[in-house]
Amino acid sequence: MLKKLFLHEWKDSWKIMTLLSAAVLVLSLIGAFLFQVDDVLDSGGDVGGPIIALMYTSYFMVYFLSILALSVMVTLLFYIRFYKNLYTDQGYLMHTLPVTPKQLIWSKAFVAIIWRVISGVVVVSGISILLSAGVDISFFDIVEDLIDGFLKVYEEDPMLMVVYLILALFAAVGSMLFSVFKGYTAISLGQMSSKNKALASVGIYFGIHITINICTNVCMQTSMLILAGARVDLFEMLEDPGLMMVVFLAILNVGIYALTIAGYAITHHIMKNRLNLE
Amino acid sequence: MSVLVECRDLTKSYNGRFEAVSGLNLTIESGRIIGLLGPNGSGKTTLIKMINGILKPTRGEVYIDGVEPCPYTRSIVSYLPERTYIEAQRTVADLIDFFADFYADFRPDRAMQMINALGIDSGARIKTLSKGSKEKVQLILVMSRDAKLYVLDEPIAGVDPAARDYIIRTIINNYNKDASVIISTHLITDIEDVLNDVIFLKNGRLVLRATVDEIKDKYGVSVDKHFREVFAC
Repeated sequence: MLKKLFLHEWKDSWKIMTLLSAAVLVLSLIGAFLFQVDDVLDSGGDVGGPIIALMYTSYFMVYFLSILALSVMVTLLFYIRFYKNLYTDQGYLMHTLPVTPKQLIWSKAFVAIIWRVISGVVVVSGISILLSAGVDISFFDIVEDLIDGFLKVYEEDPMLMVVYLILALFAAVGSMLFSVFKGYTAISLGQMSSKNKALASVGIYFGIHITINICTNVCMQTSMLILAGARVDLFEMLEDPGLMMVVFLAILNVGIYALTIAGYAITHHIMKNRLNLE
Repeated sequence: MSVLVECRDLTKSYNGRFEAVSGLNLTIESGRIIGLLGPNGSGKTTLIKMINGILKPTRGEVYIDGVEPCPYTRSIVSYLPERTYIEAQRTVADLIDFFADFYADFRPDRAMQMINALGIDSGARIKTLSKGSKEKVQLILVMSRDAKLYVLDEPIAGVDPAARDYIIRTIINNYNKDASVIISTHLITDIEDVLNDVIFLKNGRLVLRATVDEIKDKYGVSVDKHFREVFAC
């Protein structure tokens, strides 16, 4: 049933996301082409200055908007779909399917995360295409440099590198899950309100966001004070930045996954026991 | 006849005070068409939501085919809510595929036959259909299942008399004869002839549970007339 739910969620969301992703890629290619034209014009002297400048300004505005639209939609669209499908009139259909709340939640979360990955790849690829044409930096050169850097560290301390990569991967997946479940939690809590459920969800979302930021800052300040109290030499710790990063990533992962699990548990509990369809 | 629905001391309260359904004890056997009747706010929709697992009881239990609402019970209960629950962007054909995917007892050919008989374009998006057509499409989807229990919440409210006749015919001609049908409505006259049993609810409590014949024999009046007497303001 999870597979069926996933396929229907995918079917209902792929068109708009594909359109936005394609728009970013096409605009990147157009940008790369414009840079090439600019190079040719430059080689022949200064031709059509103001017109070219206007063209570039317009292009970059549209390009920036396309990336913004994709970045906003990849979050917003799936929050809206979650809310509309499960907590408005459509919920009467979704919650009477022979499926569990767990399956309903995960089918939507999986599709949302897949589109986050795709849109991330699209934005990075698009900007790389543009940069490689405009400032003569090849995307592949950047990747190659990164791999070289990793290999160098790997040769020095293979264990540390492997742990670092695993933790970084977990943190990347965890931050996407966290972002998805932060929205789901806010929406689920908001639907318990007797009126203005959508507005309540937005308010709760920002409330959660601010609370987490405050708590993170308090935790960081407290840990610094504790370290200072324990007379730990921070400068000595900074001498091993690799180890510092691993420790930082490990703490980050614990925080992200603890919050994600809490978000999932709240969402699941509300959907199973506190559904409030009007 | 086996027991299909059993409510034991079923209670749903809101904000810990107002009880929409209060201490309801009730059994519904298979093979019956039951009218769930009561004035506004009598607890009909709340009871239906608890049967479908959309609401959790505050106290007591509800069992469908011997188990509490769960994915299994949802696979044997076909539910028509009082509102339009289908996504406006979907086409009628999409919805038929959707139902066929999730409900093993759904009969797409039966659904398509009824859609065609009504002259509804299966490629049309739901948002382009009239309110009446949307309600008919929903009813067709619900009645195209060979379910054990059909729960229809106000299926004939807000439609013209001709559409009402169509809806009642659709219910009678399509329900699985071993199944039970619970119909919640105010429009008793329209459905009285097809009912076997009636349940009267008032302020969330069971006022009367009887067969239609018992009401006629005992009180010498129709169900509609008896309803008016019981719930006279």
